[in-house]
Amino acid sequence: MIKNYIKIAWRSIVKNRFFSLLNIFGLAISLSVAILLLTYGRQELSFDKHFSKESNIYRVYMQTTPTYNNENWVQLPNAVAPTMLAEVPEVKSAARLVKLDFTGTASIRVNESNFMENNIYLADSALFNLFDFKFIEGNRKTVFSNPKSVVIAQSKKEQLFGKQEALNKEIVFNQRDTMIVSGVFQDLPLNSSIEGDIFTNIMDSWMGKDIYWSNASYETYCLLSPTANADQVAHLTTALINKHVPADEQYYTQFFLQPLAKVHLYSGHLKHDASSRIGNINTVKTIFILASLIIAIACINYMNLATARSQKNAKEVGVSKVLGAKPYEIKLRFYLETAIVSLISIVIGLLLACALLTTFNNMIGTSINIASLLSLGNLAVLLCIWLAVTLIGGSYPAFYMARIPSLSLMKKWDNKNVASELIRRGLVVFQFTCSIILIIGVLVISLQMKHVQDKDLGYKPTQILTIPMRAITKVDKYESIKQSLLSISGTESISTLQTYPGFGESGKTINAAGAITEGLPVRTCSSRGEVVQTMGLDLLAGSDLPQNISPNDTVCYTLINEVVASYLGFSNPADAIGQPLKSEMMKKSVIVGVVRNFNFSNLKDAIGGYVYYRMNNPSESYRYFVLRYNTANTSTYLDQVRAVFAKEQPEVAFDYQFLDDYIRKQYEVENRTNKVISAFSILTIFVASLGLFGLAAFTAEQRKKEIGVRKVLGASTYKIVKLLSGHFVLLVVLSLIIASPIAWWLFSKWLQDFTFRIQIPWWVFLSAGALALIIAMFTIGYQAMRAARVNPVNSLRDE
Amino acid sequence: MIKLQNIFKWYHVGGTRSYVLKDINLEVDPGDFISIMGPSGSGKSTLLNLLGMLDMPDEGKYYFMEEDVFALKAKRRTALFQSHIGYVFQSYHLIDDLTVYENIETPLLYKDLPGKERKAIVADMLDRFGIVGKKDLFPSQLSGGQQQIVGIARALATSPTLLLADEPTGNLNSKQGEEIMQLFKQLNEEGVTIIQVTHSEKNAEYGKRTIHMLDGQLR
Repeated sequence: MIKNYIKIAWRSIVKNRFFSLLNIFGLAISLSVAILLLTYGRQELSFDKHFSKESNIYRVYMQTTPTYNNENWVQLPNAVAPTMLAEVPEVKSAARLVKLDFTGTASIRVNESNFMENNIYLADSALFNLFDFKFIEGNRKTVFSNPKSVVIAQSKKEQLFGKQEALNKEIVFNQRDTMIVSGVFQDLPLNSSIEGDIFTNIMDSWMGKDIYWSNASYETYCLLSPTANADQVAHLTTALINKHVPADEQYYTQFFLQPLAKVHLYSGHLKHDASSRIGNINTVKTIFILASLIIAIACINYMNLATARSQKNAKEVGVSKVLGAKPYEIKLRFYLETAIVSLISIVIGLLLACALLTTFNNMIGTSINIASLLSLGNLAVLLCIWLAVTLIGGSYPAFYMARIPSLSLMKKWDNKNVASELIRRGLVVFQFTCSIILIIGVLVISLQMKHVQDKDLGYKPTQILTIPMRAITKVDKYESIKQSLLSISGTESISTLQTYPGFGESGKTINAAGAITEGLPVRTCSSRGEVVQTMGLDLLAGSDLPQNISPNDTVCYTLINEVVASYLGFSNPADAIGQPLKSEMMKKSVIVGVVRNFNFSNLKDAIGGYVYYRMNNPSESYRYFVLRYNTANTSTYLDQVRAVFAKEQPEVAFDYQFLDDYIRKQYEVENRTNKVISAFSILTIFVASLGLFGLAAFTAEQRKKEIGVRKVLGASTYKIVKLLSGHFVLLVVLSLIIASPIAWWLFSKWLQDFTFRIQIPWWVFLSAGALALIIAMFTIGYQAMRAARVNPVNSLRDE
Repeated sequence: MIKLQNIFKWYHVGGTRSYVLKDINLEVDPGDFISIMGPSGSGKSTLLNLLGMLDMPDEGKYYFMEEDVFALKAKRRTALFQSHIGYVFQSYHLIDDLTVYENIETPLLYKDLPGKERKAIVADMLDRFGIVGKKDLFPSQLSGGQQQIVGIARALATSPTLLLADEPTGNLNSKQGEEIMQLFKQLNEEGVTIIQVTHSEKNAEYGKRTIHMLDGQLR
């Protein structure tokens, strides 16, 4: 029986080549995207699950006081790990982790070659045991036994040392520290939250040895005994605050333990995460929803196209029934046809997915490989998709066909079934609603991103070049480089700064001199040189930071923004100039200038307090040359800058970043979202059009006779096209009416993330509707024209 | 074998009943060969569909081999139909996507017969109707007469005791028609009860008796 059905199904697929191709094509495209999305989603869910101690590893984070807006920070004081280990018995092991110089960046020198590295960490050696590091050179237990030890990832070893053994070789960091390679570990899988390429021993540095409860910079992981209760441990850890920290120095109130399994996807509420591999459970949910939506739309299409052929199938069903087929047998037959079509589609979809993999990775910023695409788990998911598509996509046709009465053979079967007609139209409305929502989304996101790009940030980030300079060890070297850079034509001004806006400033508090309140948390940036000129800041009162201060000057000179000025109670910026200030930098601080507020973070955040300061021996070192240049030929300019460094610092790798590139990168997620949504809207529109195409074919077929009669009565082709297209236009309009409020709600919510955002303009909805309508008209128009041109003699002839 | 008692079937047209069948009483004995004649719209086909259990009357009783057909459950009725009735259509209604062989096999599949038995029966049918050479052809590759022969072979595959034919020669030329009627006659002689609807006096004469219908009534 089944064999027979498969035969019939296959032959009918082959016979109705056009519809079958339409169907398979639509399904395959949708499925390929769904496959990619699901693979990505599964990869996100798999994060950190491969570590053998996964279920007992926790990351510690803390809640800050209201002064710091009760934020939750994953960077803790370096005292937390050792104190937990010593005083909370359930804690079996603990490791701290901090990026070198808080940026992870250094110029390193190996065998006369220079490399700029961005992924360097200081860590406790317990980390290697916690996260199953497998050492191919060196021994896990002893890699940090000797001082000045460094361990590197295998891929890094190959880059730095080639095929040679790396053990006991030297690596020089920033021309200062010479370290000895004591171990090479196998790269951790890409779905690990721990991502460093190079680790040095935190106990070699003051960062590990000088235990303090003030500065919070250290990510802390701990291993609990299997029987421990995490909440209990968190409670005990919180109790350490009162025990060790004086009440007036407590700026955090509570510690929490986050299970390792949640680190990757559930860290949205946590600040200062160092890992670049932070995911978001909402993204994963969105991905699964999108994938389901795509599959649903594809199924709908299938149903529409399958039932559109019902007239042809009616005869076969009728005959089968007369010959004794039971309803379930009819259903089985159509389910089987669906199963075959969807199987072919899935295979093609999988091939397509392999072909689209690179594009997809670039678009979403993932690194899925073919192996994970074809992994056993994924194939199991595909099997489920196949069953789902068969069951869902096949259901409507199967039930619809099983209801065809055998009498359809005797009489002209009247398949103008109101309910099925409604369902079919409902399906089209659903598809177009999805498409229109996505089109609106693309427009809104593009407009917002344009707004972001065009927004006056309050400073001028274009034509600014930043160059890491940590490797410069002597002041006179620094001065000579600065003079050489200034002599390049095109250089307008140079500052040496702790950092550029939004990247690794220090968090400190500022207060009016003599005040006893907690003060205002601000970002501070240690600076030297003409900051106002270099950054393009808008000076409201006072002057730039002083260029030269005497070596025994003990004053900290500050340049504050309006937020700080108004917190200190100066409604008129000019009043603030020369006023004293209570800061963490130096006992004696003074305001020399006030600048207009500028967006140092991204446009999602409101502008907070910002302080540039100049003093002798600041606790934060200068890490970047920041150059403002003005030249027509950037690449020549860059070559000249590079040449200066090559001459002055031959043993240091040269690296640079354009500030506007950095700012653009801040919106990478949004730009990516935009690309993804664009791709999806094109996809859904395409697939929806396929469905509409089928439906139009169906209608034209159904109304063949009516069209014939109308033509005999003298209707023109135009009139008939109008007649056939009319109600589809209504469907699209209906879709627009349904889609608009949903899209408005959805994308208003998306815009909420931005403090600086656009209002969604009304024309966005109209253009989305118009676009959908135009596409629909093209799709239907073809079928309508064809139907309208048929010679009525043919359509009116009976049997 | 068949007994129809006071069969009525009607449609509502603007509040009044329009009768398709009006007080039909009919008895058919085993081995009968009945031709139903009448003008278009007289209710011939409706009566045939009713006999074939494809349609229901609004009133009246139908006994098929002593069983009250309309009182039966749908499943039992299908079973009764499957084991006793074969249907032949004016426009053949072969399944386009199946070969001659497969078309004949289909009703046997629905009867859940094992493969061996099916093979034997189909081979027998092909042989009996002289279409062995055409078994792998598709309906579209056959002439109308040949298609109708396949249709009859398919109807007879389940060895029904009653063959219902709705204008079996309606789409055929006279020579093909004659062949089909000869075949019917021969089948009847072999014991199959046949009821056919026809427009042609000549074809009606092949039957043992002719019933005339007009406006839903027997005359």
